[in-house]
Amino acid sequence: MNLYETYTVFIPGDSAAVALGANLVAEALLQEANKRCIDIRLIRNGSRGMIWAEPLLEIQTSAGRLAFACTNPEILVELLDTGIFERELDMSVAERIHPSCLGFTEDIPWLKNQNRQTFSRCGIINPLCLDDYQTLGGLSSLKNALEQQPNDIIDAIAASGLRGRGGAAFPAGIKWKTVAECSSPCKYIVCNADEGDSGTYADRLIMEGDPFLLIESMAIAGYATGANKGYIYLRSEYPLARQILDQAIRIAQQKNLLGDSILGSEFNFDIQLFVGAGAYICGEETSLLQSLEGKRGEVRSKPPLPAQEGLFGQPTLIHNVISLCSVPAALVSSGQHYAALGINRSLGTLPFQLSGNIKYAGLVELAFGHSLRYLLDQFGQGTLSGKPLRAVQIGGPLGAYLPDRMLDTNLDYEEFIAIGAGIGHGGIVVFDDTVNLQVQARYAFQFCVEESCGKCTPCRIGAKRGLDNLSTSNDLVLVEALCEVMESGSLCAMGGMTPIPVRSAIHYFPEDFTPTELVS
Amino acid sequence: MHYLGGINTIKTLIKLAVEDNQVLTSALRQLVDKYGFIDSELIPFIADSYNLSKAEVLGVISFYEDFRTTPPLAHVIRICQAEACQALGATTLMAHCKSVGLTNKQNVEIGTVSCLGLCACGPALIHNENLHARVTSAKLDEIIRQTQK
Ligand SMILES: Cc1cc2nc3c(=O)[nH]c(=O)nc-3n(C[C@H](O)[C@H](O)[C@H](O)COP(=O)(O)O)c2cc1C
Ligand code: SF4
Ligand code: FES
Repeated sequence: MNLYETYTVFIPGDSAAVALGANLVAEALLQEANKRCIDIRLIRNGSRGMIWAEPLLEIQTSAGRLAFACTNPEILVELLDTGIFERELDMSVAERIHPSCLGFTEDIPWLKNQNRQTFSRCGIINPLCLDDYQTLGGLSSLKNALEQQPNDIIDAIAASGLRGRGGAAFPAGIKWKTVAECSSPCKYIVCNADEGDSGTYADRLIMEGDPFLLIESMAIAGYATGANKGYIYLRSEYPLARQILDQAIRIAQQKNLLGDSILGSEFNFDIQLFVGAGAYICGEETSLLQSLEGKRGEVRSKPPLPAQEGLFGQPTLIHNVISLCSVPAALVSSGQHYAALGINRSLGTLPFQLSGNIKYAGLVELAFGHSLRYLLDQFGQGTLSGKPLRAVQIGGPLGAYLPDRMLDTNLDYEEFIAIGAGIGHGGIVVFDDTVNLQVQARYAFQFCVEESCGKCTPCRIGAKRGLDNLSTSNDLVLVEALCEVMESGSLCAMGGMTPIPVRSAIHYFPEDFTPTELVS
Repeated sequence: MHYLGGINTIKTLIKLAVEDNQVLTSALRQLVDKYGFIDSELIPFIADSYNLSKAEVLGVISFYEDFRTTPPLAHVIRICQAEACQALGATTLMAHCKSVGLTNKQNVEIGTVSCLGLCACGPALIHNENLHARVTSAKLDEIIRQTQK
């Protein structure tokens, strides 16, 4: 079935596509089509996640969508010159229509070899068209949920094995149950869209490409736990996501997907978008809540847990964007479908994000259990510079730097913890052999100095001392002592996990830490 | 400072935010969205409106990178300096800025940012609200040249 009519053209309105010139391609298309009197319909879809191919242009044909990679206004003119819009295409020569043609999108191995559960619609539909969303299965999960008992939904979430995708990987079912069991009449759903980790963009991609999915998922979470109000805490560095979410929320309110008696049920739920102000620490859940309450984003000590005493002291279910957006997939067949994917205690899929110096960078959603090497080889296919890969940082700025010999570790939360690393939010940053790990370790300390909320001493002072030390004497015994204090004495993972990148850099790349390697 | 609509417009905006039960960070966000900064002269008024001390308001403002108290120049360019962009030469790009004197153009402010979610196509930067990816030194020069027109 083709959702769109023939000769509909898709050019993503996604941030990455736009940053690579998608708006110029779209303008050129409209101008040229006008000039040539060709009747086309342009849709600004989300990104398919093939960032290496952006701006990706797709043309709907009767046989499927034909994809063209890395387009620009010149390529567009060449494409139009082939007469592509004026005749029914002969598919046997489709690939030869233009060198930028990748063939049919559905057949591109890079996409075909993924397991798209959460990102099943992203890049396919017009993100702000609720009809398209519904045509491809949207809202069915919420409609189902509204006919079920809240407890059954929570049981299904627990059965699916879904764990928090924001970094800590805490079982979602337990958190939902805790909030549901609180008797307060006022509860909140808070979506953590602060996505501050370098190397990660899954939250951004789905919010820009399939925003109704987030809205639907938050409504389900609200119904299951008894919350009527939701907040999306979005980082200010995502201006396009802000525009799209703003519009999506307004459309959802108009179409009764949000508001009173949603979709004709007796359940009321509304969402407010809150834009952050440039503080990495506000991704930490209690700091985020402080910020939402109007205060400095200083971390609160736990307990009380946010699930019991969160926003304005009320029970609050706080989840990462991807955790929430995975809810409809997790609820299929009461959790059985999702739980059948993945391995051990890492069930379902994770959208991995290939970043940095890598040839085919982009979002790869896979079930847990493949090795990191499989992911890098099958999808990334080497460095962008063509030089040998030297280090991979996985799990954001608080994640470990790993050398080639550790890449056979399986993508499973516990396996990574066992090697002193973590999967975090699924960001994977590749460095070639020009990287100096002493510089990276120093950056880890520097980042902590800049982003620490300042509440506790090990983090506030420890990071500064570490930075000074790696900038002057390079005394690794002292650095290790600092790491121990930070790890054991910090209130949150900012200070507690900064030792991970530092120690892994020293452990796996000791040759970079000789005094001669001192860089000014 | 001269504001669009004058100081009273801003005060009304703050009053409305309070009446609307908006928290302080929300009101500050509106000010920054609209005027680009929070004038220090407004702090006593904000403190009064929110029933806080001036120190408390300043404490909130100083915590957040976006809440600046100086007006931005016409062009604000922030270059990502986080790890994924480092892997593609973000540090060199910043050094280039300094070496060719791009940092002291009259109407251009060059700063840093930590991740724009463009980590698969770095180095990245944001120029006012416009995003740019795979930025080379030449591309950066061109962006700056455009601002000098
Ligand atoms: C320093 C720090 C930064 C964090 N940043 C984020 C973030 O940007 N996005 C996010 O979802 N979680 C972030 N977290 C994790 C949150 O504290 C929290 O675990 C998460 O929002 C819970 O949602 P989940 O269960 O769906 O993962 C961060 C944690 C720390 C310690
Ligand atoms: S570890 Fe750092 S960021 Fe976390 S509470 Fe302490 S000072 Fe704040
Ligand atoms: S690290 Fe530069 S955009 Fe993410």
